[in-house]
Amino acid sequence: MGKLYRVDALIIRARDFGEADKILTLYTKEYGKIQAIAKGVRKPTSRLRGGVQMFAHSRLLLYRGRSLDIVSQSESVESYGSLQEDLVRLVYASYLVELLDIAVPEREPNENLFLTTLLSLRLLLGDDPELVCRMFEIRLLYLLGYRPYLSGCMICRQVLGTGTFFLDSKAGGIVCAKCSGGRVENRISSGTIFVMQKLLSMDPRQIFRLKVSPEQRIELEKALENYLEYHLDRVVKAKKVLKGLIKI
Amino acid sequence: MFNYYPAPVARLIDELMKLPGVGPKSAQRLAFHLLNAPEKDAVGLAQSIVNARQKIKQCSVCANLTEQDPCSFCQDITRDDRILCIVEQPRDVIAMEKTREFKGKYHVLHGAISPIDGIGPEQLTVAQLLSRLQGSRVDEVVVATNPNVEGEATALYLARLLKPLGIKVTRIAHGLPVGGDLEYADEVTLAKAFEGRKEI
Repeated sequence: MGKLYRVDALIIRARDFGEADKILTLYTKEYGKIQAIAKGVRKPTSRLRGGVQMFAHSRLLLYRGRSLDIVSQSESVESYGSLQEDLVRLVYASYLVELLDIAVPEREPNENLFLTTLLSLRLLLGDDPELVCRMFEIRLLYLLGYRPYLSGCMICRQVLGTGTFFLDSKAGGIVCAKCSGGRVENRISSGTIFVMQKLLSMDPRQIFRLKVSPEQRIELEKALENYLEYHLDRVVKAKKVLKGLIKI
Repeated sequence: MFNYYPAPVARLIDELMKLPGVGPKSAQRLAFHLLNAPEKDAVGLAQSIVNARQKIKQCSVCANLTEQDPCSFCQDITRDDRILCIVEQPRDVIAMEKTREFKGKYHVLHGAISPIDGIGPEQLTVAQLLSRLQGSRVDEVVVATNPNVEGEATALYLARLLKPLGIKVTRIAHGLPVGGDLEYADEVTLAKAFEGRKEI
């Protein structure tokens, strides 16, 4: 591999650096998460600028630098520009890429995750951004090897029915009320577990057909939030802002 | 670790290293430059730092940085107080002023909503803006935040917040930079420029 290389990248983070530069965190199809510096992109006349905005899916030509790679050319494939026209979707998108950033280590390619992320961003423009986020969360867990066991109680093998279950982050799956030892948090009904299974197995473009009740949404959100926090060991900052904004 | 520098010099280097873009080597070079420079230059620098820090505060009306409170923009009666321009940083006020196009008043947010950094409206001067708008003559608010994700999020938030108050909320135009090249414009910019076309 020469000094220049080409990547198919999603810009998941852009921090200001120096006078007019930005340090980008890219999630690439070829190399997973990498950092690169884009020089001069805060100036209006920069030729790189278009392809290095947040959430842009771009083809970039990178130059192997001594510490950080340098973006030398950029061409945007899809910019998801209309995400910026709706505050709630924008914050959901921020949440999604922050979660990705936290969850994946550097330089570990995962083409499926790359494609899932792009698809989720596109679906966020649709009618139900919340459900898209839930789908992304559970698929992220699946693709990174943290998929919760959802076919029945992990301890007594009781099959899914009408009873309630609990999502046990530590055990990595659901346990039934009897085996849970009197816990109260992360209650999850069979119906919600069914939704989780569907979110994993369905064609993502079809998920809007799922009927998810408001109670199930709350259960799903809480359970996945705790599960993600336990396995990633980090708090997603955008979540807090998201909760604050949805209220107004 | 053994310290090669006399204590006051080491401290000076440490302090200089806190400045943005200054590493250990630059800090050392700057420290020795200050020590070799005429005393009045070095003391002058120190005094102007102290001076600026002590005299400059946030304007209680617009949150711009100022020596007197309210700031000169807020006190200026020749400026139109029916139109308000909202910017992210005090340096954006300077940039707007250089255009000589805007004759209204300003409000400085001191940042932008950035979900990824956990910055929400509470960390900005939004509350101050709201209380300032109560019972004021302002009928138009121009949101001049940066045209990036954070700036857009802030603009959308402000629009949602201020429109119910019956205030017209406008956004500065997005378009092609003067002297730029159409070929290198990204499709979002180009689309926005197209959308905002004007009859000539």
